[in-house]
Amino acid sequence: MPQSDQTSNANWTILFLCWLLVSVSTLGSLFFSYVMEFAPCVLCWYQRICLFPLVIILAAGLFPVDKSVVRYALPLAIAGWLTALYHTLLYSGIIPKSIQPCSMGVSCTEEYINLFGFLTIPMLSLLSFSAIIALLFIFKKRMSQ
Amino acid sequence: MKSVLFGISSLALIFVFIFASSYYKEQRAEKLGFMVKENASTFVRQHSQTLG
Repeated sequence: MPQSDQTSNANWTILFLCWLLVSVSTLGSLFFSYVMEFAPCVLCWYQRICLFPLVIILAAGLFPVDKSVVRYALPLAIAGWLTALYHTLLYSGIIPKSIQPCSMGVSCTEEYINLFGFLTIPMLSLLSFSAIIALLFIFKKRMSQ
Repeated sequence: MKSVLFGISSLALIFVFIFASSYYKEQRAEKLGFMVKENASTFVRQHSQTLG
């Protein structure tokens, strides 16, 4: 197999892994809300707004591999990451609860799950967005070489 | 080959979601059913109200 084909396949695999991660995160989010019946708060909705379109955007960028997909996916991923960071800080009490945006309706600091003593829903979101951003940066770097 | 991998992954994700949903709901129904059986007296009214 020529080296350019190997490189192209590796780039496709990185983008595919990114799409897979986004899809798993989306289905996980839907599982929490529709199956486990956890009501999403305002900050959760902002993160979902950034996450859900990525399933379609990244899938469209896979066939054929389109390097400009990063231009559309990265701003959404960064916006989601910033919201997830704010939510995590709010959840852990570093940001005071008095300035939380969800003063009405579902609380942004409601604890639904806590795996291994630290993995909460905002933390899962933050980890997911971090991995998505890392994969997009790796893809961008490889495509520009 | 790539499109096959993409299709199989999509289907696998959907099937896992459906299976996990039904499994979770079944487990929860079993748990709630058990709780209802254990505390059946909670659901029996003290008296039946008669009107008229």
